[in-house]
Amino acid sequence: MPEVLTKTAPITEINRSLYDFTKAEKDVEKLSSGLTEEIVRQISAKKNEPAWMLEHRLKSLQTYNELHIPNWGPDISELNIDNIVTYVRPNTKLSANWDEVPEDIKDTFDRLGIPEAEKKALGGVGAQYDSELVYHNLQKSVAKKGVIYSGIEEALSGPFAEMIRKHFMRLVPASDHKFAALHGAVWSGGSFVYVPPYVKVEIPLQSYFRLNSPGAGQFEHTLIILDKGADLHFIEGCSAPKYNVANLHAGCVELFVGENAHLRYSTIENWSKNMYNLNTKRAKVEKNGIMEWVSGSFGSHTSYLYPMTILNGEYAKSEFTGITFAGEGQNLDTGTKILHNAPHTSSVVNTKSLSKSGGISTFRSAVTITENAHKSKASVSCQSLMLDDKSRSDTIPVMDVRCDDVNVGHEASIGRIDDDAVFYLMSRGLSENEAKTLIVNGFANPISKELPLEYAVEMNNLIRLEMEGGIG
Amino acid sequence: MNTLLHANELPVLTWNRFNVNYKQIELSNTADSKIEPNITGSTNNINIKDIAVSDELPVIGSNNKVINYIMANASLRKKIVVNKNSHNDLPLIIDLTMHNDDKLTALFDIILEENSIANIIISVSAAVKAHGQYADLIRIKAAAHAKANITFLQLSGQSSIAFNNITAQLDNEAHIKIHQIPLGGKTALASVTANLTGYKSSVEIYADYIGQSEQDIDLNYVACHYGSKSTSDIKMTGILLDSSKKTARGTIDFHRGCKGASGNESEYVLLLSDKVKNKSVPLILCDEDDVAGNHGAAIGTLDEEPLFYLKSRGINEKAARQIFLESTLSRLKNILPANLAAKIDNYSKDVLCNESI
Repeated sequence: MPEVLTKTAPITEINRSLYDFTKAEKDVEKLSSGLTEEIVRQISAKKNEPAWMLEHRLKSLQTYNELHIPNWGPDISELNIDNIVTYVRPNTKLSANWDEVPEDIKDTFDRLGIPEAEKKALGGVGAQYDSELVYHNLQKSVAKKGVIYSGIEEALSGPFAEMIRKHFMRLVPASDHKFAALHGAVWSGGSFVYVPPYVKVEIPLQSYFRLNSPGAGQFEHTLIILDKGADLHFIEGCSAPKYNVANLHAGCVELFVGENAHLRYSTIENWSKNMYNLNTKRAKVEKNGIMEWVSGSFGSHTSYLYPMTILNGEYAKSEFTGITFAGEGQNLDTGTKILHNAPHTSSVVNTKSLSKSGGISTFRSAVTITENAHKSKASVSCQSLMLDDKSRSDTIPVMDVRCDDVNVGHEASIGRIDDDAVFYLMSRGLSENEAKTLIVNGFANPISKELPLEYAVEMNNLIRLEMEGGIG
Repeated sequence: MNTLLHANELPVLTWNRFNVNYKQIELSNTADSKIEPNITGSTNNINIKDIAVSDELPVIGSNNKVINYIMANASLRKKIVVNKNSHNDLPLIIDLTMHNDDKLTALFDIILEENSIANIIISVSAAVKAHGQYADLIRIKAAAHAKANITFLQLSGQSSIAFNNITAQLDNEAHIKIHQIPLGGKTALASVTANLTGYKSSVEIYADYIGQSEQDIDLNYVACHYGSKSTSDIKMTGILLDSSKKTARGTIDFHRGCKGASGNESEYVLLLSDKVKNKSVPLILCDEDDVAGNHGAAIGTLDEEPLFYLKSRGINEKAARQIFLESTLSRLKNILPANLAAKIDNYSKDVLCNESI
């Protein structure tokens, strides 16, 4: 083996200038840091929401105080809720016109490419800045089909109020875990989508969440209901500038996929590396419904993220495609949970993990086949790539099978880039760094090809930036 | 008075709601029954003696409370030393026979001196309907170039609890093959923790089980790689019948510095009743980049295609189940001496009688 392959240069920190810019906080309204009943009541009062929601918030607060932080997973002992500001309101109202959004906030979303993407390829956009939505718009052609895409708080007082009441935090109850309870107590902002029966939304809808305020938390709630036969692709993006204090994201996504409906939910998570990302996502799929998750986790200091699918109707299907890239100072604990709760259901999980520069990447999964789920099939595949000898990669799956006529398969592998493959590419004229970047891109390719083009390009850029100058 | 223990703990925890992080068991602290092992087979070049206190061997990676329980309660303590450069291909057999309501706690230290070869079989058995409790700790220290097959056959009574723990430390180029066969007991626990500290040290861990009735089988295998170019291979194979349940944990743990190490883990579970419960937790922990770790699992019932083929040859589903059970038992009998193979026949006749083997 040539000597060059045994030498590695230090890997440089990612160039995050695309995301890592701050805006001065002009006239923002902030509640005190910490979590008290008074703060929860203040948030509720500002939103002029129905009485049941205040009751829900207060019950969630009680649950939060009763639950413990997890005894498994990455250490989050440095996250002190007493230092987190749970509500930061930008000085603007929700608008459907970018020209009415304050210049500094509009500039933020311009730099993130959101209005441009809206013009080119999106059927609707919601943009949240700190605790409140600042922009929400749906193309007329999509609205004409009866599709509802609005701020969830706005929808709470409209014709869909009862539908929201029946679905809000029913998939993710506050008792699920401590940070679901926190979300239930202080949630703010987020989107509501309803797609009527047999309506196919041809172009994706997107929500983008930007957290600008240092030491703040973002707790948006996304509720999507697809009626029978409906079809939707929903994209979620998120980012924040880096601060020296901890920020917290404890959002919640609840997805209801009706009979014969199809939902694809794509996320590229690129929070700054001071962020604790303790997010909860869950989908329930009825008969013949299909749920597809595409999930890229690149940012945050610490992540606990396991989108869950409940296959609740016969022949319901789910597919989870995910990639996690943990760099210096990051501890990303990601994966998925699948609950097969009806006969003939099937699930496929395909994930890739990369770790470098001391980053820790953990793939954690759970596949449960209940007594009802006869003739069901589940397949889990996870591959991990170690890019240096300073990093760590763990694989922690659980399979719980409670009936016999099923087929459950699992495969996992961990290793590093094959020296022979690098040597071969170098013999064809590539530098060592180019060869390794090419191999890593090839490793990630099954994931990036599932993303919308703009996101695939963004993901490939992120990988290139992570690799740049790193291994040559 | 009884002792509550968290046995078979996962090296790292996961969601509590799946109840796989450990197995809680309750062991009796009453005095052991007087049971003498029947030791037969190859004893040339192997010294066996009683030990009063055995604290010479490392106990890395095993649950301290379990070790403390065994150390405090063990009435049977044997130290087995396989002499340097001695090659003992014929098996040394330690046969323990328990009776109804017997309790036995055993500690075995197996010292494999440099370049030695040994084949050691430990068997514990009781009448099918016997109540009782068996718990042991087998500590193996393999010096450089030592090689050994260690087989543990557990045929405790169907109303008893049986708990077999094995820890092993392997020096340079030592190789140990450990085979656990936990067939008996209403609650059957088995664990192996292998510390591969030596260069090119290697361990093979095999587990074979047939869960039946309301049997609860709980397995925990951990291969800790410290030495460079160390290898591990964990294979768990089982059949679940009736209302039996099984939890299998397997961990390949690559520690920093074990460059060139490789670990493989595979599990095959055949589910033959819609009342069975199967949990599998295959972990790969990796703190070193220059390694290769792989895991594969297949859990399910008889495939329809081979079943269709068998039916086309006049073999119905029940007969096909019998073929699978018989082939598993035949494979086990083939690796055991005649007297222990006969015990498997009795088990088959008495315990698997509903399957008409």
